[in-house]
Amino acid sequence: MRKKKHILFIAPGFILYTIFIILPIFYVFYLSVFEWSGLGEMKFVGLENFKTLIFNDRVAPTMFNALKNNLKYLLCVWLIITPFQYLIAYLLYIKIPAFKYIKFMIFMPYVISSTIVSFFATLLFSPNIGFLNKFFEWIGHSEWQSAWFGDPNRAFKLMIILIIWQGAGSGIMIFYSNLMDISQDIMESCRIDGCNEWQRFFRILLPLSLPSCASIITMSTIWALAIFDMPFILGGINGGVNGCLDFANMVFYRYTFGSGLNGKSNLGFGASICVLMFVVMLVVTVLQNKFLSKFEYDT
Amino acid sequence: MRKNLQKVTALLGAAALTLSLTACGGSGDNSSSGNSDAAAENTDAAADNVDAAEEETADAADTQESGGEDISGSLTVWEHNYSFEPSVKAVIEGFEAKYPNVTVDYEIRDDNYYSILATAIQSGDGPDLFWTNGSVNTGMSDYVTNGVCEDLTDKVDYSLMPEAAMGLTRIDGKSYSVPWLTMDTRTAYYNIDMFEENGWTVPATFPEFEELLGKIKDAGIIPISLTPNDSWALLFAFEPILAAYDVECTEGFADYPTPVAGDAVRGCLNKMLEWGEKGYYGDNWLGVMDSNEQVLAFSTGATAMMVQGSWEASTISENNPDLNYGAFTIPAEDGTVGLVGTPANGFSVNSASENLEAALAFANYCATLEGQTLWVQSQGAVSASEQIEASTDIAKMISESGKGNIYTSWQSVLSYHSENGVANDIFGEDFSKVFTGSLSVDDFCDSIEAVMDPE
Repeated sequence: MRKKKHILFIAPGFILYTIFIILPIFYVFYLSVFEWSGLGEMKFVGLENFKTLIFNDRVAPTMFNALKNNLKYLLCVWLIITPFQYLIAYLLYIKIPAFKYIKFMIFMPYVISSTIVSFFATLLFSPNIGFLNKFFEWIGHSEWQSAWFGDPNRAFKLMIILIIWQGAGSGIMIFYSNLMDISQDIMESCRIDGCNEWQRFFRILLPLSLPSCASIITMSTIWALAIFDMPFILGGINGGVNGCLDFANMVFYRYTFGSGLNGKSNLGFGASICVLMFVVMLVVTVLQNKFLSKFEYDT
Repeated sequence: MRKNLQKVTALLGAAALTLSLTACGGSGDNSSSGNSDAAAENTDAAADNVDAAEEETADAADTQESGGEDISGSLTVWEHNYSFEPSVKAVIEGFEAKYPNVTVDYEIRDDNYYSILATAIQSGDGPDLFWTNGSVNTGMSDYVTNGVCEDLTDKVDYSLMPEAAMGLTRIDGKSYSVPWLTMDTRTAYYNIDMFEENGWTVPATFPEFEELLGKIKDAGIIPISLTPNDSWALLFAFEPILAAYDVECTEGFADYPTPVAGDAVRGCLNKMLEWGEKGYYGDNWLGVMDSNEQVLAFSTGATAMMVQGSWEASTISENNPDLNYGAFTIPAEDGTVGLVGTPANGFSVNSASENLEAALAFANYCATLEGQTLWVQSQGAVSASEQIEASTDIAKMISESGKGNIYTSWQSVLSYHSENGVANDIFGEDFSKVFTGSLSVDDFCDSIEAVMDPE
C-alpha cells in the first residue's frame, strides 16, 4: 500500500517527463533514418544521413570542424573557465576586501540577454565603428587595431573571454555555495592545528568540495558540447570567418531549418547530427564521470 | 489576517502573471517593430495615390466589383520581416475597405520564419496567406509539392504583372503566388556631404569609379562598407559591380544558356578581392560580421559608400535621419548603366484555408493596381511598373540612375537553371568563403559550373 502511494506520487511527473523528454529522444533516433522537410511524406533512407554527415565532401569537413571547435571549447571549460570560476569562488569564500561588491559585479553580466551582449560586442569590436580600434588609433597605436572576430586567430579566444565575462557568474555562485556547505568546525580545526592558507586550500577545501562540484562540472561539459547562442551572436549563422566559431549545434541549425542554406530544411539530417552529438556526449560524460569518481569518498 | 493577506497577494500575483501572458504571441495589432515616421508618411502618400489609381482603374476583377459584400469571415496573413509591416497594414486596410465583412489579421514572424511556417502548416494551424521567396529558393516549391499552396493560375487576375515578375510565381508552369511590383535592385549609396566636402563627384565610368575608391582611401576614409561574412550582402554588392565590370555578360543572363562562372565573373570576383587587399572596404573588414554592422557603418558616416539593396534605404534613414545620402548606379567603362533588378514575391494562398474564397479575394486585391500601389509606395521602394511612381526621393533617384536598363540577377540564374537550385545552395554556402580567403575564385566558379543545366 505504501509502495502504491509512492508510485501514485511520482506518476504525474514521470508521465510528463516520459512524454516530453524521453519519447522525443527516441523519436529523434527514428527520424534520423528518414529524409523529411517537415511537410509531406517521410522518405526512409537508412544510414544515408550518417554517411553524408561523415563522408560527404561538402558536409563532413564542416561537421568535423564544428566538432573540433566543440572539443576545443570543452578543453577551455575544463582547464580555464572552471578553474577560474573555482578560484573566484574561493576568493569570495575567504572574504577578500570588497567581496560583496565583487560578487554583485561578477553576477551582473549573467542577467544581460544575449542580444544585448551581441550589441555591445559590435560597439566594442567592430573594426569600422567599434570603440576599441578607434581608441587604439587615438592613443597612437594603430598597429594594435585588428579585425577581432574577423581574425580566425583571435576570434575563439575573444569568445572565451566574453563567455567568462557573461556566463562565469552562475558557476562561481554554485562553487561558492558548495564551499559554504563545508563544516566550519573543520576550518577551525585547521587553524588550530597550524595550517597555512595553501595547505588549507589544497588539503582541506579542494578535496572536500570536489564531490559536490562534480555535478556542475558534468553540466558544464554537456553545455560546452551543446553551445549555440554566443558563437551564433558573435560569428553569425555560418560560424564566423572560415568556420572559426562554428559549432555542432550551429551546423544542426543550418541544415535542419535551412537558415543558412536558402530556406531548405531537412529534419531527418538534423536528427542524424543530434544522434552523433548524443554519442559524443555519452562518451565524454562517461569518461569524465570515471575520472571524477576517484574524488568521491564516504563522509 | 496574515493568512488572508498571503492569499490575496498570491491571487494578485497569479492574475498579474496571467495578464502578462496575453501580451505574448504575435497579432496584427501587437508589433514591436516601430513604424518610422518615414514609413507612416509613405503609407499616407500611398493611400492618396490609391485614390487616383481607383479613378483610373475601371476594370477591376469580378470578385471585387460584385462580391465585396458577399464575402465574409476572417483571414490571417503571415509576413517574414518587420520592414514590410507598414505595407501589410496598408494593403489590409485597402482590402477591408472593399470587403467590409472580412477581418484580416497579420503576423510578422521575423525569426525562423520557414521553420515556424512549416510547423504551423503541418499542425493544421497555418495562416490563410503567407509569404515565400517564390521560385528563388526551394521554399515555395516544397509547399507546392506537398499540396500546401493553392494554384492561382486561373484564379487571380495577373494582367498587371510583367513576365519578369511572373517568373517568381511559377512552379512547373503554374502560378502559386502574387508578386509585388517593387524592383528589388542594387545601388551604390553615397554620403553626399562627405563627397561635397572632399570635392568628389559621382563617377561616369568604371575607371572613374575605381579612381574614386583610391582617392577616398587616400583621404583616410573607408570607401565602401562591406561584410565578407554574409553571402547575400556580398551578392548585392557583386551583382551591380559585375554589371559595370562586364555589361555584355550581365545582359546575357536574361537569355540562358550563358556563362555564369566564366571569365567575366571570375575577373569581377578577383577585382573585388583586389579592392579588399587595397583596403577599399577597410583595413580590418573581415571583422564586419554581418549586414547590420555594414549598414550601420554607412549610416553613421564611417564609410563613404555602400553598395547594397534598394530596400536598405529605409533602414539607413531610420538609423540616421540626418544623413544626407544619395544613390547612383556604378557605370560601365563606356558609361552604360543598368539596374540589376528582381521583382519581389508576395503571398501564396494556403490550400487548406478555411476561408478560401476570402483568401483568393485578398490575393486578387494584391494583384490590382490599387493593392500594388499601396505596397510599393508604403515601402518607399523602387517601382517595377511604369504605372506606379516611387514615393521617396531616394527611390526615384535609384530608378532614374538605371536609365531604363534592367538586368537579370546572376543569383536568379543559378537558382532557375540548376537542378533543384543546387547552384544556389553552393552560392549560399561558399560565396563568403571566397572573400574570407578559404576558397579560391576558380574553385568556387568550377563548382558552380559543374552543376548548371547545360541548356
